[in-house]
Amino acid sequence: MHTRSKHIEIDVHYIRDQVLQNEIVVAYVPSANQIADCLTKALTHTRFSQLRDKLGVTPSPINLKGGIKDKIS
Amino acid sequence: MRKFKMENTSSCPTPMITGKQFTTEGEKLQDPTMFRQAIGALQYLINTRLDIAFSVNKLNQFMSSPTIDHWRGIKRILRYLQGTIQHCLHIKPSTDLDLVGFSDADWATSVDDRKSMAGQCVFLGETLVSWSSRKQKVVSRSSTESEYRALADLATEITWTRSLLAELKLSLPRKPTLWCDNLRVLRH
Repeated sequence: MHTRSKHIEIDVHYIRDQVLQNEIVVAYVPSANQIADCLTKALTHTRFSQLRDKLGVTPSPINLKGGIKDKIS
Repeated sequence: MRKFKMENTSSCPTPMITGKQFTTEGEKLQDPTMFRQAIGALQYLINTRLDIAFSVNKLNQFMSSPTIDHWRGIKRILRYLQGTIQHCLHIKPSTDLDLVGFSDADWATSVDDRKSMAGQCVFLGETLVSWSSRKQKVVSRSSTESEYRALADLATEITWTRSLLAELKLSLPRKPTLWCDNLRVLRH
């Protein structure tokens, strides 16, 4: 392993152990489909709304605006 | 919105401008109480609106001595929320309960200390069940290193979620998959 990455060994070994024990699968996803992208940097409008939809943050079908009092009166 | 006198402002499409760098330098706010109250309220909101998680977390780092620029950042988030006030996190029913995680890191983006931002999200079926957006505690010397840290965090989160599901007597149809966008990480 490269000298620069030697101190990340613990993280590497942890993940590798998990993979070898058949606990998890690590796979590559192209940056374009990386959903966690919007949690690490500010994005452009189109990309942001695209990822927001993928996360499941979408307009609510039910209107929850306004208090109960408004509805009664 | 009413409290911060923002109920009649025009809305913004995103919570933060692309490429915007916030630093500790700049003209300090006279009264940081308002800033702190806003951050507190927004943090509560992250529970259901994780789309603002990154921007709120970013500004949260300047809680001790906020500047006018940081306040502008808060106003931008509020304006974004103004336009997307009806949005919320949807929990969808799905027959396939696969556990899937995404992890990403943005290397050395913090201008003041060069620490990296890490983001992760865990889906159970089609529903998002866990997420985080935070600054890593250690300075990473390469992007692979920061990606690895993020991936290890995600792996622990996945392991925890899995043990919780096991306790609920819910077995997963397939092995949990961790998605990562760094090829060097996968090569090791």
